[in-house]
Order: sequence, then C-alpha cells, then structure tokens
Amino acid sequence: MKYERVLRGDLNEDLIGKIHSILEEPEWLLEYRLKGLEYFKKLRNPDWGPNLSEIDFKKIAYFASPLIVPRPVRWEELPEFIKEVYIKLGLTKEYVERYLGGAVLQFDSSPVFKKVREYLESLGVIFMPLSEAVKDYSGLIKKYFSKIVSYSDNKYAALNTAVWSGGIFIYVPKNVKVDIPLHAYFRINLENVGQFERTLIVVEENSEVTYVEGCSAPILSASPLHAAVVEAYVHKNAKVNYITLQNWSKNVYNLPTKRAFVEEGGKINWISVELGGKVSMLYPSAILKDNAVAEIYGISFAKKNQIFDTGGKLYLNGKNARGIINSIGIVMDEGSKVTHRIDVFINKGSKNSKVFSSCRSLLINGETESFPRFHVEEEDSYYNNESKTDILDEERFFYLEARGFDRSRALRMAVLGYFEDLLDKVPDIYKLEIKRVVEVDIEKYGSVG
Amino acid sequence: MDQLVEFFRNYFPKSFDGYPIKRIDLSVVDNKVNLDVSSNSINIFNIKLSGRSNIIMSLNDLKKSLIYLDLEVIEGSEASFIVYGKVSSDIYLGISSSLSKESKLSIEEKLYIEGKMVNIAKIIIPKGSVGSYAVLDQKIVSYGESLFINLPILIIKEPKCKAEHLSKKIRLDEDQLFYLKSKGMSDDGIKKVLERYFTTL
Repeated sequence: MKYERVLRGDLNEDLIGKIHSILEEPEWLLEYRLKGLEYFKKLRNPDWGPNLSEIDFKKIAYFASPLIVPRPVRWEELPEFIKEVYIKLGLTKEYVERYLGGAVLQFDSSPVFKKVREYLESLGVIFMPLSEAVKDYSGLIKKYFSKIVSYSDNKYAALNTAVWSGGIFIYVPKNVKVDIPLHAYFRINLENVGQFERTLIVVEENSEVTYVEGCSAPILSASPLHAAVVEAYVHKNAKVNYITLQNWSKNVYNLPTKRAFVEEGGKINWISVELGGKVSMLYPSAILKDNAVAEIYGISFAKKNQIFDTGGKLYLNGKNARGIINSIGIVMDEGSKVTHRIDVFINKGSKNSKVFSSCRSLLINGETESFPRFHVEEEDSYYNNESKTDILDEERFFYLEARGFDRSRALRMAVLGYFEDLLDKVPDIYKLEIKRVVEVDIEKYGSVG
Repeated sequence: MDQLVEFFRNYFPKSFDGYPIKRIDLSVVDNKVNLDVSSNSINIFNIKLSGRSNIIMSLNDLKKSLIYLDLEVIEGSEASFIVYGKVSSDIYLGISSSLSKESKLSIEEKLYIEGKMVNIAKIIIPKGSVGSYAVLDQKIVSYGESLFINLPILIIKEPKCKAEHLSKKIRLDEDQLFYLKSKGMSDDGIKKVLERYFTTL
C-alpha cells in the first residue's frame, strides 16, 4: 500500500506542528498538543503492571495516512485493497447498510470512509471523524475536549493529546434515541505505526446511543502501539452503550484511556472484549453524580504470552450512585497472564451509593492476579467485591465426555459458558461475532485440560 | 519478611518512622494462638503454620498501629486467620500469605470502623502449590467520619489451585432499618448490635 505521508522519529514540537498543519486544525488545538508533549516527556511509565520499557518511541510512526485521492463517499469507491481488508473482517456493504446507523473506518492515522443514515443526520446526530469535526464544530468540541481525560492524566493520554489523529466524534441532541448502533473500525496496517485515535461522545439530556468500535492489525515484525483516548459526556438522564471488540495482532501494545462523566440519572455501559494484543492495559472509568449508573464489563482472553491488565474505575460523587464492575479473564497458555484491577472511590456525600464488583479467572494455564481497591469515605454506602479463580478439572471433562462431547468441544463449551452471562449485555449481532472469534481461537486447544 | 515490609511501604505512611518495632517469629503446629498487638508501635509477625492451626487477632482498643503479618502455610496444612474488632484510631494492617502444595488457608476479617484504616490482604499461590485452596472473607461496617481503604489481593501462579475472595462493606438498607425499628429498636440500639457482632468472636 502507498502512503501519502509518514511521520516518524523524534517526538518534538516540529513533528507536532507538522501533524497540526496537515490536519488544518483550529489554533486552540495546538496548545493542547504542546501541553500533551510536555506531559508525555514529564510523565513516566507506570511502576506497576506490565513491562512497557520495550516500546521504542523513536521508531514509532506518529502519523501515517494512506494515499487515497479523492476520499470515497460511497462504499463502492473504496480502493479494492481496503475493501478486501474490511470484508475479511466481516464488514461488508450490506452489513453497514442493513445493521448500522453509521460507520467510520480508519486506516492507520486516517479515516478512509464515513457513512451515516440520513434520518439520523436530520435529527441532528453527528457521527464523523473527530479530526474533521474539529473544523466543522470547533466551538462545541472545544467545550468538551480534554475535560474528562486531561493531558496530564497518564503518559499515554499525554502522548495521545500530542499526536492524535482521526478518531470519532458523536453528538446526540436532546431527546433523541439512536436506535441502531454506530460503528467505527480501526486498523493498523503499517509496521511500527502508532494509532492515536481520539473519541469524544456527547449525549444530551434524555438521549441514547450505542457505539461499537472494532480494532485489528495484521501480524507485523515490529510492535505497533495503540494509545487511544475516549471521553464520554453523558448528560442528565442520557444513556451510552460503548462496546469494544479488540482483536489487535499479538504484538500490539494496547494502552487506551477511557472515561465517562455521567450527570444526574445518566447511565454508561462500558463493554470490552479483549482478544488480541501483546500487552493490554484497559481500565474504563466513570465519574458518577446523583442517581447515575455505570456498568463496566470486560472479557479478556489471554493466549500465548499475552498480558492483559484490565478492570475498571469508579468515582462516586453523588447520592444513590450505582456501579458494577465485572472483569472476566480466561488464561489459556503458559506465559499468559490476566490481572484484574478495580479502583473504587466512594466519596463523602455519596449517600446510599452501591458498588458491586467481581474479578473472575478461568485458569487453564498461566497466571492470574486481582487487585481490587476500595477507598470509602461515606458511611452510608455499600460495596461488595468477589474475586475467584476457577480451574477446569478432569471431573468436568469426564462429565461432558460421558455425554458424548469430545474434549475439544467440551473445552469450547466450558470457555464460552464462562462468560455467557456477560454476553447478554452485548447486542445480538456482536454476540455472534464474539462467539465465532473465540471459538476459532480455541479450536486448537483440543488437548488442553 | 523484608520483602513484605518493602511491598507495604508503598501503601503505608512515613509517620511511623521512629516508632518502636515489635517483631515476633512464630511456628504454630496444630495449635490456636491469640496474637497480642501493641498500640503506638510497628508490629511485625512472621508466622509458619502447619497441621491444623488457627491464629486470632483482635483490634479492639488498639491505638495508632502499623501491623505487618506474614503467614506461610506449610505443605498439607490447614490454617485459618481471624482478625476482628473496632477500629477507632489509625490502623494500618498488611497481611501477606503464601500457600504450599495441598495446603488450605482461610482468612476472615470482621471490622467495625470509626477511625481510619488501610487494610491490605495479599494471598499468593506460587507455582508448584498444586491442590492448594485459599479463601479471604471480609465484612466491614463503617460509621461517622471514617476513612477505609481496602486492597484484597490474589496472586495466582499455579493453575491447579483454587482461590476466592469476598469483601462486603455492610449497610442496612431502608427495609432492614424499618424492620428493626418496628420491633422497637432505636438507631443507637441497632448500632450497638452491629458493634457487638464485629467486636466479639
């Protein structure tokens, strides 16, 4: 594939300036980018969790845009090589037209396709790449940009603020319920490229939206980096379902920061299915005001040498706030590991607030850890946490084999059954996709037990 | 033990620097032991448990204190550790426990918190501890201007083992309070019943 521009090398003000000018952004964004650069240099890798010292920031391409001129407006106009990639991933023209309210596809740093149903546009719904929306809706975006995830939050949020491109902007006006999912697909295609998309979701009072993002990359010899930032602003009594199907190749570092601010009576559902990546650190979080609700569900499926450090964070800052964090890990191979991290802050004044959390691991081989942490300042509150490690012992296999299932089928049933209850939170079309991907992934484990 | 102290040092305050250190090494075989914790001190317990052994620790009436507890359960043993009581001062408790092959450990915590407490309980099942089983059960209630930070940690490196953890911060909901009040109990009476449950075994 030919690339129009690839920017690699030292991350400095010149490089930031080049990205800023290529994207023809408003001036105010350059200030954020430079702040991001300052904090990226200032902040260190976390001294806990997986080893990130092998990431070589000097070799990463911070911006890579495929050469596609002009930008297609219809599916048929997509270049064949891009269409082929998406069709292999199950994203066909028919699928986009029949099941989705809108779709944005991003290749490396650049959005290559965008489609939204006309009736949604007529209701005032905006769904487009954020890098384009900052030009068309600069004032609206400035109001929310970097307000929930600051450039000083962590090293990778700072990096994203400095070099982000593409990404998604969703705006749902007051009293609008988007009844079919909006879908974005992110693809890393170039070796040692960083993908730094940024997502901003603003859902006004009494509105609702379901957004699904899929991520993938082919197997490349050098390890690519994915450091996204997602900010979701959920206004009064609004609802956001955010679903991620992460299937990066087995050498990608996946280090996103996702956070929602949920106003009175609002609700956020974070649902993540983690299948790919070399190292993944993902802790979707939510700040909850009065009567707000957050549900965080994660399934991590760790195979050969994959490290998943995952869980969720809740900050309860209001009366009657409710939170659920449910993290499930399936650890298949020696060298693979799932670590569950849960952080809950029940601040003073969060009267009658409740949090339920659980960390469960099905340990077939490898290691698992759980680090739940509860910081409680409000006496009139309740929390309940469960951590559990399960094994597949011979008795279970014997039971299933006695009923005519071979070992491979028995293993698949046990693994799929382990997170079946979580799948009920996912829309049906994605439920089937997740099951299919997991089944394909564990077919080769017929003899394990 | 030094590794344990190093691990917990990240979580506990430096305000204990200079406090007297009370260090006890114990080997408990088929026995039941009550641990005596000193106020205004750093308490370090290094305990090896074998056979069927039980350790009990009360936090009632304890003043500002830092407690490190290292529990090692020997192969084939079944051990339990219970910590309970009312926390009305600053208490920092760090438990680290490790299980050997075919061993069992149950840790139970019943805590009534009116002061400030940082509670870290870590269970490690190392590679090779086949057939081991660990349970960590925490029940907590807090009142007044309390601050409670709780970190129950499981680190499992052996696939052929079982480990479970359950932590509950208890709060009586409206229905339960209504029921107790309809039976003539005052708010103070309800508080006293809870206090009694958490401060006795």
